[in-house]
Amino acid sequence: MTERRTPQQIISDLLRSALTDPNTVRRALGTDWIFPDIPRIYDLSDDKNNFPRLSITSGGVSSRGDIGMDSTDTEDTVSLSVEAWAYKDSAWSVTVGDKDAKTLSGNNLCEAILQQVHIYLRENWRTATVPYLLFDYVRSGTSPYEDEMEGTINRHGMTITFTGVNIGD
Amino acid sequence: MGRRSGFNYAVESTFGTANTATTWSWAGLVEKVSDDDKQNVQDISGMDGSVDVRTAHEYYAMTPEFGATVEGKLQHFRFPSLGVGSDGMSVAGTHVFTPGNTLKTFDMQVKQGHSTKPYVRQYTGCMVKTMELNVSKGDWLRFALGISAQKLERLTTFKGYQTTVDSMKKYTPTQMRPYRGSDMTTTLGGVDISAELTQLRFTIDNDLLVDASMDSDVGNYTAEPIPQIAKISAAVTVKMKNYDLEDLFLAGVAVDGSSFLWERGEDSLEIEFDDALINKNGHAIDIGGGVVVQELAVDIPTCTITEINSIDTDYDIVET
Repeated sequence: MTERRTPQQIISDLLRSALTDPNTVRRALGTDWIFPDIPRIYDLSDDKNNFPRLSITSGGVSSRGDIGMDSTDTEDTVSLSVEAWAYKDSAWSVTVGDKDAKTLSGNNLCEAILQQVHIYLRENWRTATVPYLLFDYVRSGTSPYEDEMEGTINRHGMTITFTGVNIGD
Repeated sequence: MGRRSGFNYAVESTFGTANTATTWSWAGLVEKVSDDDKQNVQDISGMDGSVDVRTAHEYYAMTPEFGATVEGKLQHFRFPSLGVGSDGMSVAGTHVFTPGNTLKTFDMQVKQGHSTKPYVRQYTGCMVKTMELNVSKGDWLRFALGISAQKLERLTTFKGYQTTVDSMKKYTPTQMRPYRGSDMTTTLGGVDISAELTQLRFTIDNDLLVDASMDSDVGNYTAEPIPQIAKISAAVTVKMKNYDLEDLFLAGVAVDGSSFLWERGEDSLEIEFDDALINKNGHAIDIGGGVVVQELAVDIPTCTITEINSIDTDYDIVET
């Protein structure tokens, strides 16, 4: 038997192994920066080196009927919210795709990180998610930039969807 | 359709006689079975020397031809392979679809209802009239089979599925991953044309001759269908950056070694047309940026389908 993992845990683990933490101080410590839940920014905002962060949370799962005769399996679609959180005046170097590295902070850093996520998933979902029966990665939208903690923390998110069989089992 | 329904099949050794094995093969994730269609068998008065034709005609006027269409999200090619004269399984996972004049006949059972008191429809003397393979980007690979059956009976016992033979037993989608249209490469004459395939529809029409039987041994039913000259054709919709396909059409070039490939991790499926000819060129729609969308109709003498599935098994159709 294997441990049950939610889609947001699967994608978090995938991104942890694929993306490089832009925060070199934290990277040196080897601590995580991608999590399958919403960050406790009130506690974390004490230290700029707790940012940037990525959070992956579920936006809901919908199921269609049984996928075939003598089957209880369902074809499902899961929607995940991927949000990047960055300290407004804390700049880090980030490389998006094959472009040159650029030092960014705040909203711009959030946008660059989300684009990194999108490019990675777009190029790798076919192989990287094989054991989990997640199909058809789609970026279905991005959300407006938002401020938290009186403007000290910037947030930018995107919604991604996967189709699959028995998602969440 | 769902948990309480079921679908299985078995190859016949004698046309119209149900296979006696206690369990039959699983056909894959069959999604829908259409209504049965009963057709009148009409005039056979053109038969030479048939003195009693008039009588026979009247007698056979209500001879049933059962038609069942099975539309399935099949997970492998075993069941659809019944639709071709020869599926050259020289290598496991490699299916050579060449029209032939000997099609296997088989039985099907469709179960509905309570698990211990099912309502079962059993079709015997089945032969595939048409087979269609259809894959669209972002959807399951699907087969649709048009089937002629000699006889339909209602039973109360479902045979169930083989559980030991790898090529016949039932698998979950996790054990045997279904094919999904994505990550496709298109090559023409061995050259990658950087086209995005949006849909491929591949059809075999066996052109069955299904006649009423004059033989009292089989009752008021049809005789074993005779495949005529089968035709393989395909409709391919591609999105591409130039008009290469149109040029091939204009030049009348045989599209040899053209393949359409899906890949997902360790699973892949390659459909290769040999000596195919583009016989109709749909209007190319320029969608901007030098990209055109185009549908092509293709005639195909032989098609080779190579699949690498998570379960490495030989699906050759054998009678059990």
